[in-house]
Amino acid sequence: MEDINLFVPCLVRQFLPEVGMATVQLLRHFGYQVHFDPAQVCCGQVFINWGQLKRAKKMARAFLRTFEGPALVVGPSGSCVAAVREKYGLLDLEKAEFEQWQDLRHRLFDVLEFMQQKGLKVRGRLDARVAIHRSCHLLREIGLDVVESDLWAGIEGIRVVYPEHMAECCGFGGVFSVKMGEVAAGIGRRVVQRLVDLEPDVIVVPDAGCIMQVRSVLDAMHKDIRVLHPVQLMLQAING
Amino acid sequence: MAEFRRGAKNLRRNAKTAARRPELGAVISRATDHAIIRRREVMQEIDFAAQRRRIQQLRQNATQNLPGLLDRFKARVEAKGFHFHMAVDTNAARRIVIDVAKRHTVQTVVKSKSMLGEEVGIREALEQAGIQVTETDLGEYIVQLNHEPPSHLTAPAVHLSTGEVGEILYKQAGIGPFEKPEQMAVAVRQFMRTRFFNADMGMAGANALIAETGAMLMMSNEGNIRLVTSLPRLLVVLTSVDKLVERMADLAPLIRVIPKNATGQRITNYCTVLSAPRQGQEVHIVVVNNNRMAAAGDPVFGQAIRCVRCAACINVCPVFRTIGGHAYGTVYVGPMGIVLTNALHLDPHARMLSDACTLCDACAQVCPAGIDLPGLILHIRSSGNPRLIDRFKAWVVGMTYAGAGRFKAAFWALRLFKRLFAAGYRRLWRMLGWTGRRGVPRVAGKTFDRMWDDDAKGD
Repeated sequence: MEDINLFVPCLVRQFLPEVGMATVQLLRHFGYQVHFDPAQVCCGQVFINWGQLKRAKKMARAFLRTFEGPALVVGPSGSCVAAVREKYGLLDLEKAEFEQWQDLRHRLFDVLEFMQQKGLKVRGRLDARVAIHRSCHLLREIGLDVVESDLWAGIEGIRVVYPEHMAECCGFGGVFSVKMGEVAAGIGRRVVQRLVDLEPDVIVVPDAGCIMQVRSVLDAMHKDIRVLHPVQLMLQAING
Repeated sequence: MAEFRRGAKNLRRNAKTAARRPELGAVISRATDHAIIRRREVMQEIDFAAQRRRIQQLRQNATQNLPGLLDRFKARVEAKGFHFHMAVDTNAARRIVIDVAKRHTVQTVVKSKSMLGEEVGIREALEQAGIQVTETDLGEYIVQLNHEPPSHLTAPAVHLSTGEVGEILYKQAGIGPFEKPEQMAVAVRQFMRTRFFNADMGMAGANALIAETGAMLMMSNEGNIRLVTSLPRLLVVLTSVDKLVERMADLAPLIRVIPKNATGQRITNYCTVLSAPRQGQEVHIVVVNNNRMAAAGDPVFGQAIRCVRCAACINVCPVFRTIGGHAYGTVYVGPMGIVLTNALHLDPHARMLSDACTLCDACAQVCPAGIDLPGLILHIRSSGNPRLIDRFKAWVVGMTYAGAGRFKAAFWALRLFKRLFAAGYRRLWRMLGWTGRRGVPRVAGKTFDRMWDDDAKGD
């Protein structure tokens, strides 16, 4: 059994623990031995996007230390993974840390990306109309289109729908969501309304920040539609 | 020119006001959706990635060599009988244009839409000199009548609904009242004819200046540029130095890509290449710098000068699509506006514009000049925020995130607070800035760490 070190993004740890547990169960389902080190810290994305690079560098150092070693690192967040892989370059890391980073970059994956690369297929059944929101960083930085991917191919009964003309940001944007709260909410209302218009049984959102935003907007719209991470939906399909 | 400063400072307030008008976002997103859908269709006909490489290369070559190209362009146009003027900044540009107008005792001007004209405030300057200026692009004419600046590079009145446009035309110009856009367009067209025939001077911008031949590319959908440039005996072309390209052949990818990228049209209706003055016509070319030559040499912002003003980044920007262009308070809006304003004015105030971005990367994917817009916006954010309160917030959050222990303790406290004061918990989020019409994030009753431990015990 191959070992996987679990990277649990801070929002998942505190707001969406069920997404983290679903990731664990799914990886176990595929035969991996999952480890979790509770000493891990935020990857620093929030500070990078805030423009607080000094603070981000400190976070990055601790993050690199936690995930040293040869094991694969997998976590449920395209944007955190993309931040570590692509944006640590902005942090002016010292030589030793830079090498740690180069080593980690190639064994750190978003869980959905990992499934794709390893050809891990979920087989099961789920009778539901599923509206998919394509989170920006997973789509544009990791390069994984949750709609076009074959992640759903082995699930019978599932009907996937999505806003076809563009994958528009949900308005979360990390620190943007509290710096320009009203605008974030305005974007959210428009984008979530389009998902609601598809009349889904479930809305699927592949990133923790986006899940938080979509749920908050649905709350204000008094819409009782479940918002799940793809790994949660896959687990449901497996368990029938 | 402290306008961009005021705009950047007031951005958050203005954006908030705009975001509270969902009908504004509805009008803008509907119009831009239209362009996005058509763009996707027509882009299938070309290899966008290859065209983008070509445009990036030709724009890079040009912007790295502006002084040389400018000299060649000047020599070529003067040899053909154009009058050439270099304007170092806004004031110089205004002075040159007004001098030309006064020398010819100009009373009426017909003008085509030009972002540089907005940057320089040329219409206001001419009006202050007692000259009547008519915007001849339909959208630009509407915003002129409504006494407001354009809210989008290529679609100046995109923030107005059909009903609002009908009302403006009727109330401000006595045209109509009409309900259908087609009726309005026909009526304005009729009205414009007399303005064209009676104008003393035409004013146009340019999409590209060709150094090799001393010619100028002008693109329009309404045909108004051809009338502006050919009917009056006096013509001023007001343009900027970054529009220079080296060769005539460089126009091909621009003409091929810009309309597809901007509005999803295969080609702009009218592509005019002005290569010499007509007989008996006097043409002045005013090339404005406004810090572009220096910015082009900047190691970070230099790439922003490659922008070809197609506005595709604006169409896909979730922030623009929600608040429109006016909330930015700057001439150039959306992702390219944030970046270009900072490139042209290395000013701490301009940095505040970088708030208006979710870093979703949608703009980077459509930029035909390969400008790393989100990367530059991130660079602007990390150049130091002039707002003390933001720096303080960042410090507080930074302290709570500084170690695994503190992180746990902070959220333990939040969880406790939520259990004790449900209403206070909501208010706390609002205070943090999680505002607007949405609920607040619900901190989980049990952390992942607890669930993991429980799971381990269960095994």
